[in-house]
Amino acid sequence: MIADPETDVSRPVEDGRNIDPRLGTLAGEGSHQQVERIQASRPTPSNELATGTTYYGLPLLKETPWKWAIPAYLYVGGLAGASAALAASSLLRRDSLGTIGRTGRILAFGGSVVSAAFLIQDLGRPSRFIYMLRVFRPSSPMNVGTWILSAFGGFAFGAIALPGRLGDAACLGAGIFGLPLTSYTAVLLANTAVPLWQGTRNALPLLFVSSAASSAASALELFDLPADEARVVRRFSIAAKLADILCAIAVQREANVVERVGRPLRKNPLWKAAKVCVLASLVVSVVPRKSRWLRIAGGVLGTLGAAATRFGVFEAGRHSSRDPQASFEQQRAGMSLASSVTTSLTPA
Amino acid sequence: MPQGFFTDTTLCIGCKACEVACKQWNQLPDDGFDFTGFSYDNTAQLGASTWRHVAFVERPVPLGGTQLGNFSWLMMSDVCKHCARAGCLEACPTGAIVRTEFGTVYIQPEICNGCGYCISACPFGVVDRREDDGRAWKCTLCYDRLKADMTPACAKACPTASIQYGDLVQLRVKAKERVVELQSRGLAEAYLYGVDAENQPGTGGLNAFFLLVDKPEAYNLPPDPVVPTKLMKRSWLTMAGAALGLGVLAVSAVVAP
Repeated sequence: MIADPETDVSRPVEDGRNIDPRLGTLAGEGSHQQVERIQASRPTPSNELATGTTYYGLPLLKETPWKWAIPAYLYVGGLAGASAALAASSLLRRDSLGTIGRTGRILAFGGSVVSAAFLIQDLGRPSRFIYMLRVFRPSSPMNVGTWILSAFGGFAFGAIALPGRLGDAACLGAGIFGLPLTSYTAVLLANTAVPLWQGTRNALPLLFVSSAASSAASALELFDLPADEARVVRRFSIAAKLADILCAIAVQREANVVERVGRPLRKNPLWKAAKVCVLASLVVSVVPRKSRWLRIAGGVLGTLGAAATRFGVFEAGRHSSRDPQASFEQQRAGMSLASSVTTSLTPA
Repeated sequence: MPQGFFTDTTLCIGCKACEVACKQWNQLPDDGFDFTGFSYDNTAQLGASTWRHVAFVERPVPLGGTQLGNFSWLMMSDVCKHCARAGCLEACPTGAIVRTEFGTVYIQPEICNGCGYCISACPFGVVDRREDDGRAWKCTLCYDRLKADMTPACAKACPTASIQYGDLVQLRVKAKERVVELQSRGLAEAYLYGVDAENQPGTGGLNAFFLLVDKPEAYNLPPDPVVPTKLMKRSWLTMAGAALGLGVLAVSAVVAP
């Protein structure tokens, strides 16, 4: 006899399946889905005004489940990669650039550890993080990126742990893997259906590289450097921040090709703040013979700007995935594939 | 031999038997009981625990070939499209998402580590992660039933043959005949969505395709979806160029006198 579920205390936690487990073993495809709380699947309608045809204004796409750790990784990973590139370059000088080399190696290794921690804690099943490396898949930028980060982490560890020539060789390896580490994340974001990220797929890698360079330059500006090394950092910093601003303009222009796609980026407060911070930081860097405090101010502004750039792009992308019209207009404008495709579009 | 679904929305009566059969066979948890106010649609979307979803579209225009006044009520049972080129599958970094021997796209729950990348990579917004479970889930096209030579639960339960399951080649022939038949009966707006690669180059065609009578947006379907990977060649090249540029900048900043 089956006990009354209302009175039977041995009954398991209500999991929304309404199946008495004593009747048999659950073996369905979805039976292993763990349920702690029954969730209403109701999506929130887009808060943008629906202008064309939509389905009750409901989002077309699912919003990314990624939280703050992912944009934070975009910043930290870029910082680590560009720092390693600078540290590796400093090996080329006969008179070694001691502080840049040392600081760069520490930023590279520290950054790789923090990056891995951020990425793992954001997984739905963190204990399975190593499954990322069970295959090599060139079609998945995330898989390629995990291999890049793993190799980078190994070399960056060698660069601080190994003595003499071996350490230098590892530093060179970290510098080489640091280059794609700064920018694969842009391809990763672009390789999604999110209208803003997909719509900026050509300019985004440029922005991420230059933003990574300007974050490494800004981090080094925070340290007390000898005069010749300060000169190197200043040169690098001015070039990187200038490129950063130009690339941000390029990203905004590419996004604006379809007005609705560019809108969340244009209106994003972090994105606006990022541009102001990087510009201010560039101005400070250009000032010759400045005081230590002015240099630190430039470094802080540059760091804030680089972090705000990544958070701004991320948040604006999340926002654009809530707006079904952004996808519809982008695709109707022939932006999603070769324009020849639009001829075969279904009736309007 | 690829298998798939042909969902003929002109036959759908909105009974939601497919939703129930899917939940029951796959032993999926419910989504809470909630009224949305969107016609008869209280499911609202596909999700981690909802692998069939019936959409209800109320329109102030008549359907071609009918004399029922200025109103038509469209219903469509939505499902994972099992794209010939699937964004989720190509984005999956762990190899958890595979193409089965039936040509369907399947997420292996024992491999998925919940990275969430497939969710953003799907141009249809099908895949979702269940937060208390941590993994991504979607329609399996009843992989277990297919292996036992059975019809998927939703197609089996559909009382009007709006959901038809079968060999993809035969389904396409049947669907094209159906469009011709409907058009000859005055429903000029009937057309197929995603029937093959020619019809939808962005995805290479859908293994679960549809017969629709309004534009895709009305059913919350993208008009020209594309597998994001198809667009990435130039991004990788730009990335490589930019990364090299960073290397050159770092070296020249250091070696310049």
